Amino acid sequence: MILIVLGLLPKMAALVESLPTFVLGGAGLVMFGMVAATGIRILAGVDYRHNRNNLFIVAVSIGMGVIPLIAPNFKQWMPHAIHPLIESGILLASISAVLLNLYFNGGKADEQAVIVAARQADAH
Amino acid sequence: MTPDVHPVDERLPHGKLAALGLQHVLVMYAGAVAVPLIVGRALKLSPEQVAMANSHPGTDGAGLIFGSIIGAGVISILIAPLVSRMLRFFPPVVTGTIIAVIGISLMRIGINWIFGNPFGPTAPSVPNPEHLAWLEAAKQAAANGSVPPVPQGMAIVGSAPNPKYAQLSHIGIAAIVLVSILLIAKSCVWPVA
Repeated sequence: MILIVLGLLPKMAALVESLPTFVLGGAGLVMFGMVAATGIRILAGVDYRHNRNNLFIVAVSIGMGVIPLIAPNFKQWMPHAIHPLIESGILLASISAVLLNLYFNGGKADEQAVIVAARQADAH
Repeated sequence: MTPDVHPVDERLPHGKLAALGLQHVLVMYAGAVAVPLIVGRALKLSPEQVAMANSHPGTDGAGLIFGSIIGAGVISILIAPLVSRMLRFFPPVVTGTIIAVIGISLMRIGINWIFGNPFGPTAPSVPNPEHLAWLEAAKQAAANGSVPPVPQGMAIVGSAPNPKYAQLSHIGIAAIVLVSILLIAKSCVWPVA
């Protein structure tokens, strides 16, 4: 109900809009960094000692994920049709992680671990 | 607060309840206005238009966006059973990697908020005005035929530092916001998850 009132107040809307982006920036660093930290927290629970291949999955996928950040023009000679598929580092990392996991670990169902990870991601 | 009451049913003291309630409203408000704020700025709408979109949505192009979001929601509901069966492809090593990369990718946005977008009016370097004036003179000279014509699409690349990029005052304000968040975070008692 408070939200409806806030939504009907143009003054509030103007106040929010007048916030310059550099004010948001300080909070953005925390906000977005928290997402990365949550990912690292989930990765901390992964067993690397008995399954060294997990290191490969993480190493290669994070590398794939930061390609568009570091080399934004990497796709300039590639066909235009595949640009939407490769311009997002998140998509590149997801595809790489799922495929490498299938390759190294197969499709073994470890539901308990999946549920624990999902709960951690939710709790962040 | 007797120990036999489940934490979910626990009733907090009024002061704490009000503070946490206000926090929740602010979080919800931030979530609701963040999208029009970011999309509106990306579309280069004037601040007044964005403020309007926050208080009541417009009709034309925005209708299409809202319609697509509703459509995406329906599709998500329909494919949810399928996705749940794909869960075995997503062990923690995969989800953790993906979430870490999402965070790392988003950091660019936060960093650009502080220093300014590296493209457009806040790009780190702008064309030197002297160079621009020279190109203008060369174009006029080329029109008289005294110098060879200026090639198509010739442009002056930015070489002078842009005062609008990474202003020290902006960095300082972002630092103040960051430090305030860290101070508030330290004074908070975090619920045990």
